Amino acid sequence: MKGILFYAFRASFRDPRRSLSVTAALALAVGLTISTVLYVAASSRALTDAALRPVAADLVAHGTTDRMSPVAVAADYRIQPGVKVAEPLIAADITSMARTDGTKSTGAGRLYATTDAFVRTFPFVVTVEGAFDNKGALISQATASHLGLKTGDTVVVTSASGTASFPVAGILDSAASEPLFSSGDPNFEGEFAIVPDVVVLPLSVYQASPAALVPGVVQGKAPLDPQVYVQLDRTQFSASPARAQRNVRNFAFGLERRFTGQVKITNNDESALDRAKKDVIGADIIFIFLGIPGVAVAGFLAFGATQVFREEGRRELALLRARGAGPRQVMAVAACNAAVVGLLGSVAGLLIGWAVASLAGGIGAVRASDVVSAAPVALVAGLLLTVLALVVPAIFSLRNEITAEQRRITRSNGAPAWQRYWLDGIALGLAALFFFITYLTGGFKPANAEGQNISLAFYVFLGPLFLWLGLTLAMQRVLGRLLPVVLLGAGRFLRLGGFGQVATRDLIRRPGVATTTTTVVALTVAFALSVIAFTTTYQHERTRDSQYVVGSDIRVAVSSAGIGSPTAIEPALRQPGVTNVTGFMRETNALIGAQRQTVYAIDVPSFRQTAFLPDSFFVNGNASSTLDALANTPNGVLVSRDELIKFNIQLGDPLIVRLPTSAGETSFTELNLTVVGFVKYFPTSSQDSDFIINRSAMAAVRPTPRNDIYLVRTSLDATQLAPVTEAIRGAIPLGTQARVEDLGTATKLDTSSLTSLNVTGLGGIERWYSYAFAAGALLIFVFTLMAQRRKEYSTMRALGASLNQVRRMLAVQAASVTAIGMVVGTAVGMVMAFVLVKLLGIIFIIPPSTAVFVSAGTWFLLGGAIIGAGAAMIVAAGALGRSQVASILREE
Amino acid sequence: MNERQENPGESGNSFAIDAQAVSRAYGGYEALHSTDLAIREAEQVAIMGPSGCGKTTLLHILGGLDRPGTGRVLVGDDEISYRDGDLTRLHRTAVGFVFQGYGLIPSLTAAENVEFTMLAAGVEAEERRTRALALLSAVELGDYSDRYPEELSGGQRQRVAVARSLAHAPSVVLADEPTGNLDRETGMLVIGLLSRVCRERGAALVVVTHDAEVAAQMERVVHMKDGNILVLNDVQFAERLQRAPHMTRMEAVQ
Repeated sequence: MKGILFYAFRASFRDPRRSLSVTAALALAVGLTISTVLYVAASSRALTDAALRPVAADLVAHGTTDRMSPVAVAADYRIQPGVKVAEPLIAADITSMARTDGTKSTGAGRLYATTDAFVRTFPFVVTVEGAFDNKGALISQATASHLGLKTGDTVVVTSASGTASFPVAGILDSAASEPLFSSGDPNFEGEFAIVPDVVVLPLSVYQASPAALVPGVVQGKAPLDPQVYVQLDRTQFSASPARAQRNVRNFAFGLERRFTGQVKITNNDESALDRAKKDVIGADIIFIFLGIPGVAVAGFLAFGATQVFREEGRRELALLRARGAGPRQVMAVAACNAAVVGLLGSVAGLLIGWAVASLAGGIGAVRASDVVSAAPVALVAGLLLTVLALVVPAIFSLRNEITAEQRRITRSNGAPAWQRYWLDGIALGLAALFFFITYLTGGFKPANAEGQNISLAFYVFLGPLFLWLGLTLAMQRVLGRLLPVVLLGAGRFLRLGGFGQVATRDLIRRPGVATTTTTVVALTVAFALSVIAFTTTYQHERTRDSQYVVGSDIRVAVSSAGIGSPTAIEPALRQPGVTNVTGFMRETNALIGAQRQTVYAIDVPSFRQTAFLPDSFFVNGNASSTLDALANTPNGVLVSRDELIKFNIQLGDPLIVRLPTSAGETSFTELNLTVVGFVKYFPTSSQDSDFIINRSAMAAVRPTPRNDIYLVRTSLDATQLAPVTEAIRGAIPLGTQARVEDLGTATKLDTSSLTSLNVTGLGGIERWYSYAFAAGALLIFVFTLMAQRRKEYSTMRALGASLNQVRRMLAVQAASVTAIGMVVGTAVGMVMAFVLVKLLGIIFIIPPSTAVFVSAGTWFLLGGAIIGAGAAMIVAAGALGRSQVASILREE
Repeated sequence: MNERQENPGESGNSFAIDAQAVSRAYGGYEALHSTDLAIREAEQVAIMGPSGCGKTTLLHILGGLDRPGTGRVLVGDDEISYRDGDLTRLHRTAVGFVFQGYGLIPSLTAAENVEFTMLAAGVEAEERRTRALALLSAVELGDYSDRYPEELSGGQRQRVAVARSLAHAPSVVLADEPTGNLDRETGMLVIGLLSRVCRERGAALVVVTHDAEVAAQMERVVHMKDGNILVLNDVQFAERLQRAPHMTRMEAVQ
């Protein structure tokens, strides 16, 4: 046995052409698997990072007793392993702030005292004027505006314990300080008990201030909230959000235990990582959807590569048997050869996969640790594919040899077993069944059981898998029947001439290899096209979602807490690049019947020029006519589809809306409206039940006709909006609180949604592999043809056919296979893309009605497939030119 | 060694094919030593010898399928140049082949196989078909023109190959063990047909064979051994006849 293994090992390298071909095909299959695995790992990390990015402080330790000293606790935490930053913050309620001359004062406010390091590390203390230093206090914009104070003036702070004066060192950006008001979670979540009057003191100034202000905890006269803000070293977190969550919890428990009974730790990463866990599950499903068919095609390709050399393998097997090798020894040779090829293919695939995933995800996105984790996957995938592609055929071949020796006659009707048992029909039936179940259960819906992948409804992705399998096999069956008709027709139509017709006749008479190759090309094109269409649709929908959320390019939400003039903000919006601006009112406490509803009041002319208003947002599918109807009816109202269904509202129905007046929440003014249209979505609205009226109608009954939201349209691309957004932010007058968002920031803030996933990279990966598959499939086809027909081609040459005539024959055959494969593949790809988009469309706010099929990627794919076929032909033409006619004709 | 005949013509070379001092080596192995062989127009010659003696190598060199290491080959008055275009022209006009394994194209019918060389040469479809049917009739396969090779017996396939080798009216037909895959009776039938049809069309015929009976059908037999053509002069033959009066010249060489 040792001798036969040595023979097998040497045999693996004796014919490098054969070993290299199979290894290359295996490497492609393993490479795609590894690229997908690495991309999933990188995406998982990206989603974890994206979820944590808005969280400035991972943990906040809140003092629970009078004995807690935030300075001492911070000093202790700072030296703990895994803690990057730990800084103290003291929060205290104050009674009021006032000018030194006592002419103006504020109501109750909040005092914060902290360190330089806190200000540098956490983005909560940001100045619009002056700077945080040890000389004095920072006061909020509202306080500065109200008291008429500026940097250098003095502010008098009064608490329950006493009064102290501080020089004003700067003005705070109130929006940035908002998270400090949250007692538990200092992130942008939930409602904060925000007060407009805030003063921030350096800890040293606070500690040195008169005892009357300081006492707090010690004297129990003022409610103090001593805190320590902790930032952990996130590089120590796992890429997986579930594991990262465990990492953070362990840190939190560890830190809390150091001051048992004195501190209670708030974990700010918990909810962010919870969202990320769901996103990663969703991402995994998407990658499974998009990746598995590609791996299947690649595996089929690897099998195809072995078939090129089937005859040589059979001869070698026969020779071994003739020389006395037993079945076990023959199998040992096949297994040893498979092991060598599988190992080489796995290693090459790992390297290819690494390179491609790095290029697709950006260099550095894939870490070395990911590659180490992926290595076993590569090895298993490589060996599995090798067993399927090499060992199993060898077993069958050996069995046939033995059968021949024993002169047993086996019966076969010529059709493969799957055709006889209608496996394609069964697979398609199962696909339909799983799609039906998926439909009944609401489509794509990961369960909420603590983010475990196991809780996913597996049948959601069984549908596409069975569809893929069914279409693959059905296509094989149909092509076997259709090929003669199509080729004969094409040959006549294209007037291919004598040799062209000989070529097509050859394909018709012996369609085996052509059918298989056409199937591989078709599947490759279908697979790539479905991925490209899906990723294009995904990107398209992502932008649409952002446009829907923002309403236009930029949205400015004006806070009612602002004390500036209602129209003071408008000049700030007119920045270079801005083409249109519209402002509208929003009343969230309107009463329709007994229910509170949101009513929007728009200025139709400017709104239609500025807002994102696709026809699909309107029930009648026509934005223009619906808005015309509203503009032409001063008391008109557009009703959302949900309300239309709920109340069976018809066009022309009267509708009474009661709007609150300034007298209080119980005082309303009635508006008698007429329903003039229906909407599915309203830009900027996250709800499904809305009412849209003319701005003039609401302005007439509102005490102050101020706009709540402004939409800004620019002439710029989504990626170029940041400077305009910044310019608007900078131009907002002092005292006006407003949140400015654009398409870019809205997309980034969408970290809890799968729409933040970068599927384009995966699309790119699969597109490049598809080029390789198409070229590989065509290479395998032409070389299989050449291997099978080499004697025929040589005979033709001896009979007077020129080298170019033989090459033309091969070219016609390759072109026929490519063309048919591409046509069928395009059709199947469109079906697959449509199915994928429909299944995963639910993750978008506005579910896509269809996939985007025509894109640059589609043309690149089809062009790439043609170039791949051309490249395969050039290689084959060269090989034909080098073939030795005489020696081929001498072969037995 | 050589097997040259006296030049029968007064002027020019009227040999159908004339190999002059051709040799061929594969790696370090010399398959054919400096060899001469001239075939007269319409002459029918058998090449015999043990396996590996260089018969097929010589036949391939005669037909331009293989290029000699040294020497030259004349077909008619023209030396084979071994340029691709010239070889193609040679195979379309002057040389026809019959192979042991028939060499029929499985996806073409019998008639289409016969037409193949004419198709390559650009002969009109109608003329191709007329000539192919005539040739198939000549080899007694007129009723089998639309059959595919897989629907024909071995003998029938070889007869189609014979018809095909003559379709372009070559001056010489080179047959490499044309009866090798056939039983004796069918083999003799095929060789008889090949010989007859070649004679009718004035084509020279060179047959490589192991079969003495087949060789006996030819006008001349050339024997080969170890890459050389064996030659027995008249004195040597006379000496051997004295030992065995009924011995043929061929048997004497053997």
